[in-house]
Amino acid sequence: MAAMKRIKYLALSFLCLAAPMLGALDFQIPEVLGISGFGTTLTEQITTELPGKSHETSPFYGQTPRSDIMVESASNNIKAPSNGTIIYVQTEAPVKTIFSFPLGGALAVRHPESYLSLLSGLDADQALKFSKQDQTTTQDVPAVKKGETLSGGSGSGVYPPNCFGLRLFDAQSALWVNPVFLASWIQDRTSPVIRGAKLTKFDDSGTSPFDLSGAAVKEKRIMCVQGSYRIWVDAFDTIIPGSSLHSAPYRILVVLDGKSIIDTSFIAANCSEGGLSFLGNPAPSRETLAADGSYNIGQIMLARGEHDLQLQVSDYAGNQSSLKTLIIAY
Amino acid sequence: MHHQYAMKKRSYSAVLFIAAIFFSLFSVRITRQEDAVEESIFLPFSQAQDVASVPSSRNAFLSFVGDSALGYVDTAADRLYAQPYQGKAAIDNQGWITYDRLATDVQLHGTDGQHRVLMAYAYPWFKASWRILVRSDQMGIARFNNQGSILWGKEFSMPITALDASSQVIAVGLLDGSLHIFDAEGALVFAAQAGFQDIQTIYGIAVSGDSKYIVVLKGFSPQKIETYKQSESSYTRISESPLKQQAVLQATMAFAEDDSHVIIARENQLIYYNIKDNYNKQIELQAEHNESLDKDEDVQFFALGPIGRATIAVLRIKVPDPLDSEVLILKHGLLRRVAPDAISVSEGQGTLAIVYRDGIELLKGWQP
Repeated sequence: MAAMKRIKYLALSFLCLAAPMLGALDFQIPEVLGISGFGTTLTEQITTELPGKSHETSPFYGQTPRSDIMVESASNNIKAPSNGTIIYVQTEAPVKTIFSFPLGGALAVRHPESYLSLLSGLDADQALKFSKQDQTTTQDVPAVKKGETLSGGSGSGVYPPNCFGLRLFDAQSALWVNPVFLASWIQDRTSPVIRGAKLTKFDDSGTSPFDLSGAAVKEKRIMCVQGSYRIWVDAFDTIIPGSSLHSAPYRILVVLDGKSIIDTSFIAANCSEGGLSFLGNPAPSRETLAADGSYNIGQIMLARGEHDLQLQVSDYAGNQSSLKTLIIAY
Repeated sequence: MHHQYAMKKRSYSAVLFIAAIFFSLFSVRITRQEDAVEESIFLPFSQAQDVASVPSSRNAFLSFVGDSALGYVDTAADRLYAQPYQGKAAIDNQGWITYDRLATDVQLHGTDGQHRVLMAYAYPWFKASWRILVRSDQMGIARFNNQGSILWGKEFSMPITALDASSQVIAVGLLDGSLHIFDAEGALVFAAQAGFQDIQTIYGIAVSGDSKYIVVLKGFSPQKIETYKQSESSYTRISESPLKQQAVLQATMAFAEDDSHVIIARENQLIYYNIKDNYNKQIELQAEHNESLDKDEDVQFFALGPIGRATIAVLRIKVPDPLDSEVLILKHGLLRRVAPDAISVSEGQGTLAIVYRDGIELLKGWQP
């Protein structure tokens, strides 16, 4: 029964949110062993792997939410997700005296319906092969076919071996789109994990944050001054069971006294002059994250009195975790 | 009469013969002349001093990054300071940075002996006193100082595809064709926003050393070279030159010091672009230097940078074997010198330092 509910939720989410955005795009994320999803902190992987580089204390340049996904393949190859015209090829320089860009070997592909994708982490020879396709006249344009095997060699750019980056841009809406809904093969039955949640005064008046979870909450009750607060949520999800790659959750809902007051998701990132905006926060994308990796999910107003606050965090498949707290505002 | 005719014929022949000698000498000078150098000295890495012993006064010093060693060369005392490094590196006259491919271990070193871990998930890029971090997703840059503190950062809505700087400005080109130019404080000097519907990717950028010009390689079928000129406190597009050769590969570009031209290197193509007369042409090296540059499709060119007046250094690498490399020195796009097995160059103080895998060759009295 619960599984049926989840499938229904997933289908509904896809139909309501993703389907109109993705239109008739023939794009399929190949089956892989792991996914670091859209919205995941870019530094998530290195801060969990390296001792002494905990993201809980250090300001880290590059600690921003992903506007792509990183996939871990079973081999050093990946299948091209869609047909398209290649408009840009980047390779790693064969010598260290030439600067190479961090995405390593990369292909930017133009698709029908005003979509653009970028596949990165490719082997230099593989990327060069595409740049050498016949272009003797302006009518000859290099192309890639859906399902074509693309090699990553021993890894390129910032990608570990067998890992690739994949991003999808909707040029009509000026959005970087979360492509996870284009991986119909995913079967995720594990709920996201809420590591923590906190309230901070909206005016940044210097008061300590109020922890909504963990040992600081005595009998799930906190007391705070009435006023406006930001809510920060630290949560992760594992999209593919058994994978070591963590992901941001998909949707976060805040219910205050029975009313839904925040409903936000990582469905897409908006583009603006200031950069990228996630979860309704202004650009640049670092505005979405606290130094400890928590997501800024919005603002609530706490009037004097008792309040029931419920936090619901769900993943792409509709699996859900929640946190309930009683708040007494004085 | 017959004798006079024979004399005249002999005189003509002699004149023609002398003219032919002059012509052949002249043509050789056009294609093969090497620029004036007073002295050449080779300093092997095996005899280099430790970089930690670099003196604080470094007026005649040039910095370099080689294949496995980095450091400084004292062009006045002919002394080399070098140390081996792992992974990748960038260097300037204040220090250097080493980093691994995954960008998980970024280490900042100062010539004052200071050393710290830089908390960044990014690749460092140094040029013309700029210390820049290119974010791991290529969606942002940040400027940092000698202590590793971030001075300012910019995020873009599209991945960065091209980057270049003079001492005053940094120019950033994006996948959608947008061009952003910032000053040293991070203030936006100029922006050419592109429409997302009609993507005109920027494949390469070159900023002139005096910041007067910025040349951009952009567009897709057809491609073009756009020139922007500094006007008051911003930039104005002044010309556009269509390219005959189409390619979607990211390019490296370098501006001549005298602002006369730009060399564009991408894959096995070298393109000369003349700023003043707004024309471009493909450089055919084979005709000028047959013995070294055989016709080979599997080579890659990279523009290294200006090395005085109208001279630009280019790296040529054989694709299957990166150890097979040479540095080409081009003057107005014409080949002047070849340094076989070299991998980089550094220029200044009237000296050209050619970086090899086993040491540095100093060409003193360098007058291109």
